[in-house]
Amino acid sequence: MVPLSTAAHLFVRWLHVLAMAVALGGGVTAWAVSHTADAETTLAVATTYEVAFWGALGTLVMTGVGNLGALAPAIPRGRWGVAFVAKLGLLLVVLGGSAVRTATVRAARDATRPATTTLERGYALTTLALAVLVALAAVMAHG
Amino acid sequence: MAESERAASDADTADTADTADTADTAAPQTATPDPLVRWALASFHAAALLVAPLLGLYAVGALGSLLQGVRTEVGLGLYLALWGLTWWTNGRWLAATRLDGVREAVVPAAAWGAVTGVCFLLVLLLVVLLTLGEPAFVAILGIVGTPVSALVGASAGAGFAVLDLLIVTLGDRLGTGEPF
Repeated sequence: MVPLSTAAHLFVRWLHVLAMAVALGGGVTAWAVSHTADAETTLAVATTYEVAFWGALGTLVMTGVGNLGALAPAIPRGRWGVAFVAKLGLLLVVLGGSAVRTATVRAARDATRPATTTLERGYALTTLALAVLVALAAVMAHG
Repeated sequence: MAESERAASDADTADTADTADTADTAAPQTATPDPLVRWALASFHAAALLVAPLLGLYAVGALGSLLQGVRTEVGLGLYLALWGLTWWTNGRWLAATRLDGVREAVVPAAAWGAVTGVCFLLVLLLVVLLTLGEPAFVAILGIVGTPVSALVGASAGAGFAVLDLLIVTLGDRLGTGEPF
């Protein structure tokens, strides 16, 4: 990939980190709120988080490919490659699981007795999976 | 209430129910889709459409050479175009389906998937035209690529419709605490 100016590359990386901060930080917040607050508050926070989460995930994928392009044409293999494949595989799982989580939030909003315990578990799993993605990114960046 | 009045009242109730049924049947054609579901599914589709092929390209060693040929800003722009297109077509698809049956969901999904494929091809052709500046080559690519992109888009749309149906059904069960 033809490199942009250094400033533009830094901007893409900053956007990538910011998007993960929104996804992971929001996940922790939604988890904490669903653990302690009432159903109404939980669903209000969950709905806001879902909107932010999908924006953040889209931005992460978009800027992630941009960062990957900076390595082209010599995309590493070996240990880096194992971490890369694991990261993308886990990302696909997070994408599918998060679609189910969003559908759960939508159904819970319309339910007479919303299943907030399920949401709490969903946000715990999301936070855990995102933390593993960050760890894999650290392995890829620093070996 | 006299018998005749009760009968008239029952008939009114039946008419109202019929009207409601008719409205329910017609509703998907004009219904406004849930913005959260639309946004989530569009983002999910766009991301999955990029991440899954990336894994395949890396596995066969073709990722580096592909990315080398794409400028970063062009790549970002193409992704934003795909994201926007899937948001638009997901909205149209969700307005045309109740998500309560495979056939009922897959048919409009295949149609709007084909629209997504062709529209994304047009974006790609515009990029090629601006980059290479060869209208004849772009025209040939367009003629050959249109049926292929429509077919690929329709297949992807149908596949995602089945997946989305599973996702929404699972979400409904989990969100309301219904047993499986």
